[in-house]
Amino acid sequence: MSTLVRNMVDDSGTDEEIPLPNVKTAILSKVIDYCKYHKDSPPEEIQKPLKSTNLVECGVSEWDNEYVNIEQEVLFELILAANYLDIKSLLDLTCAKVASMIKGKNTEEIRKQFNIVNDFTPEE
Amino acid sequence: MRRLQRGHPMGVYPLGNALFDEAATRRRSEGLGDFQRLGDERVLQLLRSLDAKALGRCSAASSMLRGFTASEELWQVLGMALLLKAGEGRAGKSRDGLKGGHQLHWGGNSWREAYICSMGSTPAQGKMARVYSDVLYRSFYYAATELDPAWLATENLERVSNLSTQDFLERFEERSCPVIVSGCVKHWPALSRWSEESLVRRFGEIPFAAGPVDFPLKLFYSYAHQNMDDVPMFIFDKYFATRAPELLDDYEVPSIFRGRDLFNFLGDEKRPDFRWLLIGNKRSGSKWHLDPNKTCAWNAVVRGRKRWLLLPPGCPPPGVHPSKDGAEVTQPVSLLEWFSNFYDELKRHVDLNPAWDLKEGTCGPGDLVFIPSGWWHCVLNLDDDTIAVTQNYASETHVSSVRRFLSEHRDQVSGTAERDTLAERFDEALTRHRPDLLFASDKVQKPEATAAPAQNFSFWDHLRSTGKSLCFETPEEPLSKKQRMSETG
Repeated sequence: MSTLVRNMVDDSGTDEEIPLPNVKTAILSKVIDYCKYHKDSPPEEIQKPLKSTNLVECGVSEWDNEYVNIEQEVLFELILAANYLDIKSLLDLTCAKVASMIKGKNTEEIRKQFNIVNDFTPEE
Repeated sequence: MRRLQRGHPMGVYPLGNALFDEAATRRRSEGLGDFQRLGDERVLQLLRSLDAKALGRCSAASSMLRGFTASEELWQVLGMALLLKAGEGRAGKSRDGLKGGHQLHWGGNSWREAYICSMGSTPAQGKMARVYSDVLYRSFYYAATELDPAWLATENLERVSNLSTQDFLERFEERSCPVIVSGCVKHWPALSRWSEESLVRRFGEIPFAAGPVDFPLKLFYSYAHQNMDDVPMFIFDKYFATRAPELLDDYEVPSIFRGRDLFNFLGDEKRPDFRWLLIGNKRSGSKWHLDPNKTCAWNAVVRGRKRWLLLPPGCPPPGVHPSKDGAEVTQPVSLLEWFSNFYDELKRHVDLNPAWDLKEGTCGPGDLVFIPSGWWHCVLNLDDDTIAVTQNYASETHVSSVRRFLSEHRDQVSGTAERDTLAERFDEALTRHRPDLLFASDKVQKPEATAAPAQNFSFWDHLRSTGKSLCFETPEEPLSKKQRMSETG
């Protein structure tokens, strides 16, 4: 499921250690949970743009929805890990989760949620 | 276009410029907040899941987010969704039950402005704070970059003014040799009848295919004259014979090709797509590709000019990487990006390799280009309102390759709904009409290039050829930020 790992295995075989310096243990363990679950059942494509803040209504399975019901900090780490390991479906899911957290909020709420500073001058 | 030369309308600049703006780092980290650590590509990916309202609310959050949410690719998707909905409405199959709904009007100079206008609002104007991002700047750069005259200078595509079918077969089709024939379409009424003004008058409300969507012709031209796309859309419509049948009266298949399409034996309903109307403005065009089903093709320019580059079978240019089975081709997003980054390298390679028979030429009104089966080619429209018609045909000369392709690459057969059975149906049709061809081998005299150029192109050679120096950061001595910046230039 991880294109990075697959390419490394293709290049060096399965006896070599695969270095993953950019992924913390806890996050890697969570990624493995995802991969194990989806090993034989690839998830559905998530429709864009999201039509609801409830991911299940956007085609995400209950399991996947619960899987990303985590702290924002961990969620962002997952995005980075999925990107680094090149696991498209996990990247899509985690990004959709963050998008669902943006959707439905007004501008001030968005700023608050993601620690964004309003830097517009009055005329802008 | 000139508008783009004054700089990005939303104040986006390449990342390196941040070095000269003291407030840039703080503005980026404060303006992106938690999103900063994801990197620009991921932030854009997040935004792709948002609808227009959510994008609008994000754009008001900070100047960085305004720069990101202004990204044309986001609004192009939303605009194209409006076109798709309009298409469904016309076909009487509106899915969501939304009554009416908004139509896309081309107000303004970009997908973003057009979408906002179509919703009845006015796009924000005025002075914008600077946003530094290579990711955001890239597509703008290729939308604005000028065409280098060096790309258009060589003319080594052979030109003939007119010739008999026999001559054409012996000199070109059977030698797998591209050629420009300048005399065989000059009698077409299309040459005087087809232009934006007259086509819009006759067919302005009729939708024509441009990629995945249909554009009413008048709307298409409005878009074509005012956009910021690095990959400008163009009309490439295989249905024009049913949508605007009067167009068929304005041209005819040139005599050297008439009656020689073996797929004709399959009957109109069951044969692969074979004719397209092409309309595009300057800078639009087709990236490097092979034509489907091992067919040959002719492409006649009726108005404007097209720049052609062609390479023999088995010789994809640098920057273009077909997958092992040939089903997918990886190459830069826009053709101009390919030209900017790989044209010079191709020329250097051609100088060293005689097998790389690169053909370059410009076609004007009345010129027809012949593309032999299996040749790589790309096309760039040089003028606004460049109009052409093109047809593909399964030639007797290449019948064996066609049959083999249909049989061995069924998943790559294109232009027909029943791709799995095309091989058998074609053989059946040949059995009935031309059984001699079932035992024919290709008549092509010149052997196909036997080099495996995909392997000739090592990434290392490419790196060396670009003449750039590379530095690698070691853990003990991280490069200063300034040094790192200079390598990405």
